[in-house]
Amino acid sequence: MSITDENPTARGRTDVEPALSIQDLHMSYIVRGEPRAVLRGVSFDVRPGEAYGLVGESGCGKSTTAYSALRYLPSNGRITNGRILAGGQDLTAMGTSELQEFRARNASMVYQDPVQAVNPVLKIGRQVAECFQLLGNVSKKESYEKAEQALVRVQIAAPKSVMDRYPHQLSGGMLQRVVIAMALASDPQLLVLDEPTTGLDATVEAEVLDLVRHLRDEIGAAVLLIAHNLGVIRTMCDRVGVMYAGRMVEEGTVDEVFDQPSHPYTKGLLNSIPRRGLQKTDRELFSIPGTAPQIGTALNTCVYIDRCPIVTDTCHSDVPPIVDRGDTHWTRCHFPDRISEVPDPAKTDVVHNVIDTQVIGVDGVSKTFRQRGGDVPALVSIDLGFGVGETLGLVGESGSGKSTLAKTMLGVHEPDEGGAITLRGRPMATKATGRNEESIRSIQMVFQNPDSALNRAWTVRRILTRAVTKLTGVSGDEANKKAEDIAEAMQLTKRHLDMRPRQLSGGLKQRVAIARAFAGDPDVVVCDEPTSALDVSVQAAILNLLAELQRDVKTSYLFISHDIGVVRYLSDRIAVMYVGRIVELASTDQMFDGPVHPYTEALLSAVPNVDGEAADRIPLDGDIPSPANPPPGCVFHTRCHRFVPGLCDVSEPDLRDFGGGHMIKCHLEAEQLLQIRPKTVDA
Amino acid sequence: MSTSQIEPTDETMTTSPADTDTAEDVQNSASALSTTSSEEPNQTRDQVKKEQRKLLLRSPGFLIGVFIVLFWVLSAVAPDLLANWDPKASVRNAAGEGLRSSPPDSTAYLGTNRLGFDVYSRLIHGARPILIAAPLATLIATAIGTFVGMLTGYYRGWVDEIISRILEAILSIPAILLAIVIVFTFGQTATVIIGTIAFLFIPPVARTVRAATLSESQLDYVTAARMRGESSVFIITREIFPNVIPVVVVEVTVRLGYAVFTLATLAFLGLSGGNVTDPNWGVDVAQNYTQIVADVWWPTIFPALAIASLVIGVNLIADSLEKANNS
Repeated sequence: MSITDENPTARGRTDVEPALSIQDLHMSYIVRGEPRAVLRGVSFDVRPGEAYGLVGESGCGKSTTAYSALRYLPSNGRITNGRILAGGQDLTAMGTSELQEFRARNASMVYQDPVQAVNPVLKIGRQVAECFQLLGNVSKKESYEKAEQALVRVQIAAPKSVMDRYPHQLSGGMLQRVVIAMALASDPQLLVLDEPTTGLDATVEAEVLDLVRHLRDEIGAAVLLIAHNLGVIRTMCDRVGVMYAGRMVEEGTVDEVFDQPSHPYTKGLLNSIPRRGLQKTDRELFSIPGTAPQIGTALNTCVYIDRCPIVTDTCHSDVPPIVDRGDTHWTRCHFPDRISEVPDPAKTDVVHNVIDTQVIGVDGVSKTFRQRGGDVPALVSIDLGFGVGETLGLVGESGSGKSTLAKTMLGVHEPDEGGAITLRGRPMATKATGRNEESIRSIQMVFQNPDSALNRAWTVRRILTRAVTKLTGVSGDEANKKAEDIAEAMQLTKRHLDMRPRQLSGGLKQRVAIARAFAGDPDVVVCDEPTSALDVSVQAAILNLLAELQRDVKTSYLFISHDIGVVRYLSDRIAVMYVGRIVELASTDQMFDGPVHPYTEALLSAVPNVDGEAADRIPLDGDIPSPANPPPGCVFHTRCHRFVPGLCDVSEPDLRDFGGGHMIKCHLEAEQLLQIRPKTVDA
Repeated sequence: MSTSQIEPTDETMTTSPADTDTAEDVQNSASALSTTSSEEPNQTRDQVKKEQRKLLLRSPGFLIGVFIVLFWVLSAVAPDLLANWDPKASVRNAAGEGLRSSPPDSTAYLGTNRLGFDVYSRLIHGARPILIAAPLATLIATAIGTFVGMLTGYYRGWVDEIISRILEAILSIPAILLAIVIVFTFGQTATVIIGTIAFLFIPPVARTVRAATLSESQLDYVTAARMRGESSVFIITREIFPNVIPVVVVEVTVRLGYAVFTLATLAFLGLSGGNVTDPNWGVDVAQNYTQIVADVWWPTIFPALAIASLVIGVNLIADSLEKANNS
């Protein structure tokens, strides 16, 4: 276990016995007596001290692979072929009790949602101590002592007080630390992490990832990491396997795979994410056409034939062999040398013109939620304006007031006295029900989750026709015709119109939701995390659609997202929110060139970078303050790395112009903000 | 499934029922934890419905329930088709003698009671009163309960607080006790009895529908409707109601079972809304149970079984519907 402590270069050494070795694993789910293949011969090794990442779109089998590493499978899961070796033992040959023993002592798993991994009615201390009691040979008192040490190990500052709390009293990041502490109780040789940071804010995600990296070095465990965020994989892992339709199509070190992808799928995947500061004016994102084959499909061919741009007859008849591209890098493609023929996405020469005329304005809007136990000021005097055809990105941690701002603009929440939402200079009614047709038409919304946003009892046609009728006043055949036109503009076919939302895939559902928002030719569309529930290649298609609509009909967007790369791609200007206040408002270039608000600086530095250029992360200590009880002075001073005592905690700074309309709410001057700043942070 | 069924350029799913169902089943069973939902095919809703229907028709519980209920419905609609004696006249043998308390035989299939009435024919004729009163009471309760439940679930606030407290107050009093008091107060007519049961069943229906409405109204499609300036009436009736219907259907069947039971109980206690000689299962049990000790069990046991079979039949249907809804 101490190999890596003494010799860090031993990490990933080939002469060390792998901590986990999956060999030609075939797995099926039995559905109504019929086996449906989900894994089609997956092989890989994870060596002690190594972090191995699995990437791929949903349904590719990466989670199934991770679960099978602990032989933790649903009752209808069958391993039809292959071996799972961990620490020299074959898991496929183990009986139930052996398997339990193995899981208790040798391997641990951390799941996506820490809230579901802990018991809500037991105190943290008891739950962590139980992990040690299960391992045996400890008294109750000793187990609590060990629990405390375990919490110290995951860098929890006040372990005693945390142990005395219930899960709901801890933040998501803190809870995930506790879960990791529990997973590490047995000093496992293998740690499986399934999307461990997906539900967390970027800043918290960065902290958890730092912790995992630190622990891996400390205990020398092998780590198997599943993440859909390629940036996370790049920064966390030594090697990565790319999965598609239950088969691994490419494997190599993260640098090899991300910088010289050799499989058309890997290349497509990488082209579909906005990287290297790409913006909508540079080029479209690449969207892999078509869909992955369904689970259970018989595939005695290359798995990628339906979507591959360089497919040939050979690909349709033979399973491609493993082709080495280097000592550690291989691809499963018949024609690895033709990878350069996989086209790069076309450059767009279309100019996005932003016209400065303000269409919708947010003028001095505050929103205070009145509730028992005091008022909660969720928004504090927000001023924003939208130019014609402009995208305003809105970023900030959860709880910063982004969605409240969106809902206030749309008339779901009523702003406090004194503030107003203006349409071409004239204030609109504060409540949607009080707004006239023109005001309602002018501002619409696309939600994060289309499953929730579309009425599942309605057909697509009805959803769109109703929106057309309500927003434009036309009805009957005319509305139906218009609905069909809009659907076509969203690249929906006529066939889709008579389906219900459940019959559509996630990407199609989001297209319907966008179509509905565009039914009345809106001036501003609020997009609240519209792609966060989608796979990257689907996300690319949706972002392209949004950019194209904007070019064509000059709609403005308020684009809320936690994905800085996506915000940077689509936005002309970016606003940063913190505890209900806008702390920075800048053009996209200004923001990424600096200087920036210390909060923005920390936020940007926390983003895991898919291009492998890691900037020094600026840690944000502590939790985001409650809006009900904001700190005095500058609201950010409690977590600020540039905090000036006696100034920042006393008076609240104004949102000041730092030149060229770059607004920052900070006491410091530009030179001070630029001091000891690491190189330009790249999203 | 063959590869030819995959439509590569199409984002929707292929439509072969077996395949599409499989995709979801497999995903469910894999308990896939990814947030990346996917452009990957979901299955079509209509096929789920078709599949649910197929499962329903294959489930023995559902079929038995339907068979029992249909039998009693037939008895209620056309009793003369099944009954071979006048339910309110003495059975006479070939010699013209009245048969009192005679055990089941080929003349009186389920025997006769102490008045000489044919137990079997009384069972068949006794289906009608209960099969009119129970569904009627249930429908009234469901209609009012759904209305109240949707309003309170949608608007919440103080109206909800007041109505919910009232409903809870009604629920907290034992139903039979309350029913007896009401029927004694307003008179022992069939109308009063139906009205009483309807009244008793409003709170549970309203509570269930309220919960369903509450969770629906928190979904974004309701927010989207508000943002388009839809009226509350439109949102409640057109947007939310269609999504609450499955819950209401299950509630109707569950309540129907309880209504049969409650009606029979009231009749047993002497509140039948009719004459003692009118064929009525609950009344027959009450009239004859003292004779069980004298080994004359048939006039009591068979009406009791009739009540039980109808309650069980309706509940079997309710259970299967609920399972199909949740599958």
